[in-house]
Amino acid sequence: MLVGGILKMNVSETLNNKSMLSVKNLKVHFPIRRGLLQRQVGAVRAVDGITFDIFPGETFGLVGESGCGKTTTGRAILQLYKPTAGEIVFDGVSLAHLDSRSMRKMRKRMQMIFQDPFASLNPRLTVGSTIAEPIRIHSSLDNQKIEDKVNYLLEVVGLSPDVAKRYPHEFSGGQRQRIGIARALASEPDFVVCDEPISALDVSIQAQVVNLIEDLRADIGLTYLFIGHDLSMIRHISDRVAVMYLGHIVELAKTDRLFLGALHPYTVSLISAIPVPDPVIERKRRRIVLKGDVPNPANPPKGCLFCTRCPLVIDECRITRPELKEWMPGHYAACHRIDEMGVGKGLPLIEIEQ
Amino acid sequence: MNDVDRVLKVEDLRTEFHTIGGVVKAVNGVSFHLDRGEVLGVVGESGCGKSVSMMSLLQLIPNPPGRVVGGTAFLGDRDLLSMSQSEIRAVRSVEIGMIFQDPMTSLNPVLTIGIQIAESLVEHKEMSWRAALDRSIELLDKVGIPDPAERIKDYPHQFSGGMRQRVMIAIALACSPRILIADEPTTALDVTIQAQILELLNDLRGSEGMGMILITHDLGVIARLADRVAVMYAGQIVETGAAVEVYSNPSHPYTQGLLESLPRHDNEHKVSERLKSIDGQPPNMLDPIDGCPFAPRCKYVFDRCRSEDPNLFVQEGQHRVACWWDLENECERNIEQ
Repeated sequence: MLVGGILKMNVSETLNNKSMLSVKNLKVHFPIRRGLLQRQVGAVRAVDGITFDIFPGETFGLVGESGCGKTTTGRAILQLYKPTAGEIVFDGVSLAHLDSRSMRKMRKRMQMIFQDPFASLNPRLTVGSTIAEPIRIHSSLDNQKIEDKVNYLLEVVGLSPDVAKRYPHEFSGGQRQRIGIARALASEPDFVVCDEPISALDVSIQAQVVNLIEDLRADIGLTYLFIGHDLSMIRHISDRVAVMYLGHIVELAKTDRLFLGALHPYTVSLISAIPVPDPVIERKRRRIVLKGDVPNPANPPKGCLFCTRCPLVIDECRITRPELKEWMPGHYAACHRIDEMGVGKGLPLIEIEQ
Repeated sequence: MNDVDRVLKVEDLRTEFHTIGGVVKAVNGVSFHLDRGEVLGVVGESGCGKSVSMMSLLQLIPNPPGRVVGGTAFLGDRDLLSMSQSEIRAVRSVEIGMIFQDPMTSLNPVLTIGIQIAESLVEHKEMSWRAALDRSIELLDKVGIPDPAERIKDYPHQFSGGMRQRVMIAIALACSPRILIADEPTTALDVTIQAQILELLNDLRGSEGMGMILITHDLGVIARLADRVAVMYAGQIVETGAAVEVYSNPSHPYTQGLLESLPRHDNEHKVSERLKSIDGQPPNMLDPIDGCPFAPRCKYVFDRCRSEDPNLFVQEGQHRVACWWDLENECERNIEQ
């Protein structure tokens, strides 16, 4: 583990100088409209002021429960949703102020792999034309070259070139996800948002697709934003991880740091909530079972967002919202109680709970 | 284990679906049992027949296209598969409770929660509505819903996903069943809510001797709750045994492959380490299979696998595996069929 840890640190430290993507105080609010005149009566604060950087060549994991804003973040980065506030800087260019022509050029470099391989492919287009479409839009290759490229891409994702003439319904979930990946790669992107790319797949197929995604990173030099709710997979694939709760990042750290020494009570309970596939360990594990549900994002709690469910809540948490602070180099968390708990002792909250 | 403790014994269950594309043998000779107070975990991927097996027992398979074509399923000394509609109806609500994956679609949106819980008590236990509603309040309290006396007047849409699943559990428990069948009870829920429901199911295990069949694709959930586990693939049980034994010593290449393919959040991140994946695709159930259904994806495959379908062999005590290859001794199993 140490070897891996040090290796990874070196990688990101050398890359630290220049980030590929900077998200600065990003907010995406969806208006709630009521009445005859459809007057805005409130807003769902899906993403409410998040900031992070992604460095070239890294895989940045974004994890949280449904409704925490992780998918909205991914979509806002690609400008599929217009951010309410904040800035997204990709390779030194702020995306908010681009005209549509320059944005199209940028899109070529930023692609997305979607969650549901059954909904994200056009059922009336052959696999070949689905993959050829981005190539046609973003390059001026002739038909023969396009066909060659489609065949090459199919091979890259582990499918045989003769599937190009077939339609999406003829393929299983795992194969469709490979087609979706080939389409994302067609415009030769540098950066890919993977939005829960494996959650719709069978267990035995998940590993195949994750291996493919990891191989592509090494072979083509891709940078990923990997969105997921499966902490085990996030731990496997990410270099750094941000944990989201109700539209905010509550903790951000290098992967091993987060899993071995999480600081935020939400992260600790999230990790403890996932069952381990080993009955001997699983029955001995101590776990924190959070009470209640995630609050409504249209009406979040006043103080700390997690104060309604936190096992360590004190009065201050209900009044003031803690800032995301850097407790150790590269390890950020937003909690009032970290000072007392002590930093760096590994999951301190679990000990306290018992 | 004497016969009194064996609540359910299923032998050679076979269910087919007659579709335009051909006959799908969704359940192809499945045998298992459930004892008093134990939790049996049934694990497998989508389409492996785990849900269809349980629905077959309760005669819930839509006919046509589906049909149970063989086997027996004894609940005590009565065969569930040969029961009349009115008999099986009584079994379904009184003796076997069932909860499903999606708690929204399994509740009636236009009836209050209280009525939905009390319904089976009035119908089958001949309680008055007043008494049944009082019992509903107790049940909601038992499954951890705060302020139950008020909440029985609410409708399903007023509950969150996790709370709805608690209501489903309360309905299933209403008549104190001998068996609770939970079909992917936490799949539609968030991680922290899943933990709450697993905690609740864990508290209920063995209460009043109730046995539980837990169907899931999540090997972590099985590890948390199950005493015994049955691994299904292509309509068959390929490995079964005590959970601890199967996880520590998986003897079927499929079980082994599944366990190896899972990343673990309690393991260190290794940059260079690839996941060990199982190659190939899940079988197309329309194609008739000669031999072992896992043979096309198996890395230990040899000639016999393609021609003869292995039965569940006894390995050690309760641990059984359907495979011609002995993983431990790296040789062909020396068993004649």
